[in-house]
Amino acid sequence: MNLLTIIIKNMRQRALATTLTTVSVALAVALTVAIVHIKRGMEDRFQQSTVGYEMVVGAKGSPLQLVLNTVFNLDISPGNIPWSVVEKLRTDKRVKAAVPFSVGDNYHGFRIIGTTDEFGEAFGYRLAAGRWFNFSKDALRDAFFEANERAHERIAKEHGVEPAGPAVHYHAASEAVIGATVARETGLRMGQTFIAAHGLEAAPDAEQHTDNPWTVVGILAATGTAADRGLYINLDSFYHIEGHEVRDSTKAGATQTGPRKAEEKDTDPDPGQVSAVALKLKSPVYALGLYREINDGADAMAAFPAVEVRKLFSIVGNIDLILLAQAILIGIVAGVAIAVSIYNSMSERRREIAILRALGARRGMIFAIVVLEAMSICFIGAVLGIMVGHVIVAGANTVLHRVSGFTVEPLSFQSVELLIIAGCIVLGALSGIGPAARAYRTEVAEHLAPMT
Amino acid sequence: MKKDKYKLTRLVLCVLVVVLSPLTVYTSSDGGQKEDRPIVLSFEVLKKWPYVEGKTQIPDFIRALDGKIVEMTGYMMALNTVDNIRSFILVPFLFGCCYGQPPAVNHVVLVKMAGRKTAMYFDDVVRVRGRFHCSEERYEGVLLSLYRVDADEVVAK
Repeated sequence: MNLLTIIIKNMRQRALATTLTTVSVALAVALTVAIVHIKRGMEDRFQQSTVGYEMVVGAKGSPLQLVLNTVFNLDISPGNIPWSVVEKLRTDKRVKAAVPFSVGDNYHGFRIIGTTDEFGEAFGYRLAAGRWFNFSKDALRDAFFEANERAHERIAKEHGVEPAGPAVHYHAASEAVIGATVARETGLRMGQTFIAAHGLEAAPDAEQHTDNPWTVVGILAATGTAADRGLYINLDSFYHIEGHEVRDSTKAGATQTGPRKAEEKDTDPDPGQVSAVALKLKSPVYALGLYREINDGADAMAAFPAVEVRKLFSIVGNIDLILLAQAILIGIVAGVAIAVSIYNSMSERRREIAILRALGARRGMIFAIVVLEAMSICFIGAVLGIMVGHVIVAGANTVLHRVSGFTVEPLSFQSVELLIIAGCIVLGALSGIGPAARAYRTEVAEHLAPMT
Repeated sequence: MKKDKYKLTRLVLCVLVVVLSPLTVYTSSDGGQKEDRPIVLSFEVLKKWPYVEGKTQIPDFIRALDGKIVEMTGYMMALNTVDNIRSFILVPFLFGCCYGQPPAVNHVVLVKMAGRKTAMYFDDVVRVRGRFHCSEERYEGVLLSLYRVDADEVVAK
């Protein structure tokens, strides 16, 4: 009978205690694995998405909300900023790229983001298929003008005045480049069209913008960032959607009821609004100066995505630490339970140990059997726990998808899992020392006496 | 009996040494290579002169530090990476106060990690050690930096 056979036999003899202690270890490991995977998955996604977005500028409010909305396609937009802010940033000699974004609609829960064709080049997004949409500043001016005209029509009707003439309507191509996840999950292919639903989240009764279908002209290569989950449309087409008026109705002249002259679109100093602008700077040394200049102004607020993400990590990190501490405590309790259960079984096993000794087994061998038995329980528990942990991650994906828009790959294996297994084996060895010492001291003659 | 006790103690110690020895890997240190004693350089020195682009030159007392190993303290600010930071700006203060002036170009040091090194992010004051360079670094006519440090070490102070 070799060492392994003896250990298996011992574990079978105490099947209930072995099962319960293995399950305790498995639970601790499963909890740890799930926390580690979800935390790292979230951190990776947030870190990858942050790369390239050096500064974002949007409406005054919460910088974290602005960053979540602009960079991660999460949360709602804090409001709009005037187009003049975008123009000013685009001509600032410290700014390398200023890419505007407008949000407000979704397709099957994936955000539709109006932007310019600079988006891909500025942030390093490559196309897996097709081309970028066509964008021109003239088309955007036309779109702003048309949206303003619609606003005038609406305001005129609200004041009981029939508009003096039809609004000017421009027809720009509505094209879209979609993220890799959007293509995979919605089945949208090159050349197909889609219709936007109003709002940032999918809702069964959401208003559908049936007048403005977009044609897919490009699909982004997968990046592991929030861009995978976006549908990027030419910014001008965003303002052709009914309801996307860009003129603040409280502004002077907003109640003007007659149609404006088409030439006005080229001279309007503040023709429209966007949700946010993402910036790349020519040098980071200008970051704090520009940040202060923007924040001192009345129109907009600047935020650093990397800073906001770190703040978010520091909040979430504390919750993770509490959960990890709980998992470690469960592990320690499981270790104590293993020690107690094996120690208690020693009384029943003394005769067996004495027989083994009589058959030539050394004390060291007996010590090793007990320690290895505890280590085996922990090892089996750890392997089982890792499998359960991955199942938990797969199950948590539905909630993660809904709450954060991200999912974690449940089948990915992290090197830390090897450390967890090693840690469990160490825990098993430490738990086995007490009972092993008791087994070591078992006297052969005393326990070989005939049982009465 | 005494012999058995000694053997048991030895066995227990053996198990403890085997299972706990991997921990010692994390506490070992290579000691580091001794370098020249760094010059402690403060932002007060770097800020001692008014920089007006195209009009003022970097003064001699700062040029004298070019190429020297320096040690600086300040706050790190990495713009587009959250961790494993390859470059960042070192500034005397962050944006806690909304009054006063933001740091000018000669109040900021552009830190690049030497070779393939990366730095962890620290919220609090950091100590940066590396080779200092000063000149008007430009790209397509735009000033990118005045002060740079090729950092070998970035640690929490």
